Amino acid sequence: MPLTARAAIRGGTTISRSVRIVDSGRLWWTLRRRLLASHALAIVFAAGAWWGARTLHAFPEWGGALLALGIACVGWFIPSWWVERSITLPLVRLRDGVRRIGEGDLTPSVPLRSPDVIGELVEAMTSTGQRLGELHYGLWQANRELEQRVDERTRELIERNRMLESLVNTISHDLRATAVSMHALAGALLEEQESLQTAESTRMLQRLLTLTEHQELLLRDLLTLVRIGKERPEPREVDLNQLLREVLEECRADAAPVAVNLTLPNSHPVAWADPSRLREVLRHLIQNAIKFRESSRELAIEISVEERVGWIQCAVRDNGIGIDPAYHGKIFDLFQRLQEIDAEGTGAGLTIVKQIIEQSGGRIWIESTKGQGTTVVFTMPRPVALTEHHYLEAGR
Amino acid sequence: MGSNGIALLLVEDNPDHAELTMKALQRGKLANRIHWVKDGEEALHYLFHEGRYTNQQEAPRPGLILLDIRLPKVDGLEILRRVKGDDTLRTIPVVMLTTSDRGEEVAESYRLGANSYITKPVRFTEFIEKIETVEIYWLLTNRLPN
Repeated sequence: MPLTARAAIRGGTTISRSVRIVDSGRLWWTLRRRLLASHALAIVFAAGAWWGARTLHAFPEWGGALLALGIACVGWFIPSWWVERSITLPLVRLRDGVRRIGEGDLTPSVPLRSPDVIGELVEAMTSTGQRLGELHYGLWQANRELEQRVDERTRELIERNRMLESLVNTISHDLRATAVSMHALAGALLEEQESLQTAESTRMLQRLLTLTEHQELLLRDLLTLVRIGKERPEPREVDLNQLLREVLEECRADAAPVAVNLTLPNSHPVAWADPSRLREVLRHLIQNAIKFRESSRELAIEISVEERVGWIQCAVRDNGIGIDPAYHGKIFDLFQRLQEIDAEGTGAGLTIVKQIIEQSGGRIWIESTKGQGTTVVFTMPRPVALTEHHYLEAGR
Repeated sequence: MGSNGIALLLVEDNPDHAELTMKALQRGKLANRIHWVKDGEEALHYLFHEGRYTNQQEAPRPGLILLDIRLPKVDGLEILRRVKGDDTLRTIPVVMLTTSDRGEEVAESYRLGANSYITKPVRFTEFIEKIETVEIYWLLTNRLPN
């Protein structure tokens, strides 16, 4: 809070200045000077009256002396009245000002013009009040900034809490649903083992295996989501083409019988991302394209990259079964499946992808028509150096 | 509906649970016409005679709806809202089926007009008992307006 600190320092200096004025004894000298002046004035008046009476012979000897004394008294009274006023008025002003500050009114008061040290004192007190006002304003502002920050953090925490809550809810739901199925299958196998045909019991055992695998996948995805939320990404420059080729090799190995026609971007795009997370994103998207392929035609995946000034826009396009636009908003929700339970996916894939992309400052959306394939588009930042270079190029 | 068998609509995405439920229902030998739909969209199509179900003969009005809450595409609560908001469908009893017994979901279901709420127990014998109870109550004991 630099503003507040500055105001505090300034306020402190003025206060110490006013203390110094009183401390140094200059106030005493001022009073003394004024009193001396009033005495001198009285003597001058008295002497003038004495001399006048004597030269004019207007009064007898003692009458002249009496008149001189009277004039001296009056002559002494006026300056001392002036001295008294010159001290008390500013002091009253000062008292009122200090009282006002004490009551919390920090608006500057009209300064009292007085050339000497009392004027300085009043001025010092006035500016102290002013500085206190500034200090107060600074504090208020800092307080407001702090409150805003607290609000922001609270909102983040609430959002995060909400996410965790829905994570726990959905995961416990899915785990329990799997448990219900497994229990039922095992129970049926046990109870009806005499009457069951071999084919039927094999089918049930197969299903049990699938469900066990599904449960394992659920836990894996849960851990991934928790990890993404907890660990900070470590971005660096990533050669997108190379990463894409590697990911595709992995996916090809997994989906051996499927022929994949891959079109890679012509350029050599470089992204600013955490490589392992970006790999996870691309793997999920390509696996989805393989999984939701349209069996009547050969799968073709086209990956295109557009380089913009500050970011890269990447699109993964397939010719699969597509998604009805009515569900485009839902598919990024946690464990939302548009299909039934299987061993291949839990429905957390796109949620994980979205989390990763948004955490690294990008956006993700879907363009798809049912039956005509799906395009997942996402953006991510480019390395700063490259962005600067781009700006320079554009400016030339 | 009536003497020619009672149609029961089962809305359940989990095939194991659907199999289990149908097994329980068939054991009771009451609902000899069960129609199983796998997601929320299909359930709405069935009930409102859209999509595959434009022919009303193929989608007779069910006497009872067993409705899972978590469904792909359109969730159970949304279907419940649509059913209870429709003048002709409103009188069909709806029994919610779910694996979670979260208070909010139970409350929301009843608020939207669900007639009953079943939490699927892990033990499958219990599950069968619960389904049978529901079937007996809603299809035999309880008199429905027709």
